[in-house]
Amino acid sequence: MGKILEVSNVSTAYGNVQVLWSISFSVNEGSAAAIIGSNGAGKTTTLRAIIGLLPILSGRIVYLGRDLTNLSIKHRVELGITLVPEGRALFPYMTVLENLKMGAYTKRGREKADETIKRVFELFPILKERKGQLAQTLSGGEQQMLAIARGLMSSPKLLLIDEMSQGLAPKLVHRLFEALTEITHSGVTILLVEQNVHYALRYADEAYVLENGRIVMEGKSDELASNPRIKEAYLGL
Amino acid sequence: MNTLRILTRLFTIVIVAALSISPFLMESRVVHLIFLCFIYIILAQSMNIASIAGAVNLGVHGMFGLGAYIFALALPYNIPFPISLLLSGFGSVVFLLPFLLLLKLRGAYLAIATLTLPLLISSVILLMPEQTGGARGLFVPSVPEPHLTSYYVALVAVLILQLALDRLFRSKYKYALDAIFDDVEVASSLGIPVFKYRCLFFSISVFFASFAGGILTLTLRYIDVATVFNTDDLGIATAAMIFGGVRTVWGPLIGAVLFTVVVEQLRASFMYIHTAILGLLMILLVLFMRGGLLNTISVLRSKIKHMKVKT
Amino acid sequence: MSSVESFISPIIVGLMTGGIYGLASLGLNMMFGTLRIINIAHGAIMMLALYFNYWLYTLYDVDPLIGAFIVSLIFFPLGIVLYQTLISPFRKLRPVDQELFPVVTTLGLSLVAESLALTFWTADPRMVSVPYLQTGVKVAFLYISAGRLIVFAVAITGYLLIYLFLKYTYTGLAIRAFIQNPTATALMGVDVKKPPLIASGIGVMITAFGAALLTPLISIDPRVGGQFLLLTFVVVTLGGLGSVLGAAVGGLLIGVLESFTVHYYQAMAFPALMVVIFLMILAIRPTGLFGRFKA
Repeated sequence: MGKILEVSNVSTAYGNVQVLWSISFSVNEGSAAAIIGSNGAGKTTTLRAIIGLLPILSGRIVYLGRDLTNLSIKHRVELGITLVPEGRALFPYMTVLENLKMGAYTKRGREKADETIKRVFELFPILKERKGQLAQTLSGGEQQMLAIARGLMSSPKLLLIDEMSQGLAPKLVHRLFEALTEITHSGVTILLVEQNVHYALRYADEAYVLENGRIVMEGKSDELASNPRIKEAYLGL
Repeated sequence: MNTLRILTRLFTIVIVAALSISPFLMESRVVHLIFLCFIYIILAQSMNIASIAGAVNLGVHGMFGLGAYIFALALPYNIPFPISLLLSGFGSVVFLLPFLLLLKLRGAYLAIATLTLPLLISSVILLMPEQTGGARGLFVPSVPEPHLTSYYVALVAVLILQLALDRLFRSKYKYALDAIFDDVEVASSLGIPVFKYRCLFFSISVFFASFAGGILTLTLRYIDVATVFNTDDLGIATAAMIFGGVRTVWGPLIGAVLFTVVVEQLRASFMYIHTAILGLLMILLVLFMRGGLLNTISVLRSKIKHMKVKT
Repeated sequence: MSSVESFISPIIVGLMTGGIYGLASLGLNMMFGTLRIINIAHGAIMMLALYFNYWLYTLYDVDPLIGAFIVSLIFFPLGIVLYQTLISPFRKLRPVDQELFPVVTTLGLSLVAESLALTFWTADPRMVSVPYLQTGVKVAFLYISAGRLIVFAVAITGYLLIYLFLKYTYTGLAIRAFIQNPTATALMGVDVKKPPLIASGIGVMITAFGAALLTPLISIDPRVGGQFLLLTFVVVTLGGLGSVLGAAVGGLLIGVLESFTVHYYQAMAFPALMVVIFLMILAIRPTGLFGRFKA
């Protein structure tokens, strides 16, 4: 399997404040990768740069051999990259079903919309139960499921997930990660950003540690999990 | 003090002196035009004053009308006209006190709310025909030397406004006001009493707009709702303020003079086109010359400075 | 008429006119929801739509109801042009300016529109009287003019069409999504320049449609623009921003209120009453009855 994503020497800033300092990493097609690090390290910024919400100052982001620089968000979604943003960003006054429909807005998504909905309801049966309910009436965990499901509706090849476990009970987090594993098995590459290092390393094949906008460590997740620095800094051991 | 400041001061004194004696030197048509310029300067500056504190006052023509009516209604009670004039200013402020609550609204909503005030005021006047003459209008008792008096009162008002604005812009309060204008939340977190400032400046704005209405009524024998509650006045004041530069000391003055002259010429030739041209100018100004004349000039000046530094 | 009838009649009349007010306010609502700006030219647009329909009738003998459709088709591209020239240039500015500049440009536009109307059509009020619409129709114990009934029915149909559009088409869905969360909408692969643009076109279109429907019912003069502006703003604020149902309910309420004011007091008091209501809503409950966005 080749590389689905190659980030090379990417730097980016918010106004005058530089956040990412020439970071480089890559993700293999069909794998599960994680970016971990403490608050403010630049993890969310990285995902936003990949989807195009944030322009980059220098460097390149290459997706399946295509340079993404100058491509609009719309274009990137059409190519198969989708972001499930931090805080879910659902459409509160739309029903579950309508949120899912919006997810399939692109041509790519609409073609397979009926199929994808079926798969999504198999993955998250509770969503099928609540399909006529307004998104804002769902519980936190259900909302996160909806956010991920909506992301899947665009038939992505690369799914970016930002801080999925935030504010959720451990049982739910466990359940969500199980769902992620199923999604990866179906062929979708997942790159996630996670504060919960324990689950991130258990789920992902490989991980990158981001600190102050730089990648300080990378490797297979089982190696990282047994690394003493990681254990001390992030796993509280 | 550098030469530029001295020259500017001399220039201003000369102009003021010239203006003071012009009623005796120039023909009455010209004097009347200058007088109208004064009135619109006051109107434009009263909008400016409100904007300084981040409040928008799109109801100046309503306050103008209210001032006119208060003045006209106060005169018959043998209240000497200087008092009546002041009353027209303060009276408006008092009547409009409850509306100060609106200043809590966000920019665009405040704009719409102030826009509706003239309609409310004029409607109330129309609905009280016994007290205000209603649709038939009101006759204004005569005052000795109306044109001379109004001219000088207006001149003094303009001088006071300009001086006050100049002092204000050089004072420490300017920083607080800029902060309010830029970002209300940041300003209040810094401990600046945003609402109080807005109330104060808005009240001053109301005062001067109504005062102008009173001054104009001095020169008239008869007023009615249609003549003193005119959206044209709003258009001229807004265009003048934007053209000259919002939140500058001299911008609205320059704009007011320019637009008064232009509109008076147009009014003579075409019936309603002047309003259309005003509207068009407002659109073009905001699209292309956003800061107004003075701000655009200062932006250009700093750009030229930068260029000089580079070479 | 017995006292019951004289009480019910203004209600019915008010409801019918209110239905149309709701439609015109829906346009304002849509524009505000997507653009987050206040369109002061809204009343002027309604006034121009009325005059246009009047022209179609007097010059070309076009039935005002058919004319309303023609007018709305013409105003759709006008709405898009309005957005492009007077509103979108300010999208990239800081919030303070972004809110205020469109107020100035739309104010300018309303001045231009009003003076053009005065020049072309003079201040004399115009009336369109279409014979078949004047005939009375007996409904229960009341006589209602056919004109009012038909116009009301057409307005309801318009409402339904817009509702269906927003609920079941992808474009409508995208507009609703944009109103609720523009960033998330971008993430769905929507070209985010499109929803506000289309919403402006549709907004102006249904506004013009609503106004044109009023042609056989009211007397037309250029000052009507200012009154419509106030009216639609009160309806939108009362019903709540961003709410389709709110615009409908608000419209009906205001329609009835107007009817009562004219019937029991005098027409001239209505604008003053509306300003008072408007200011009270802004002061007490800026979100309105069903609204989701605060003032």
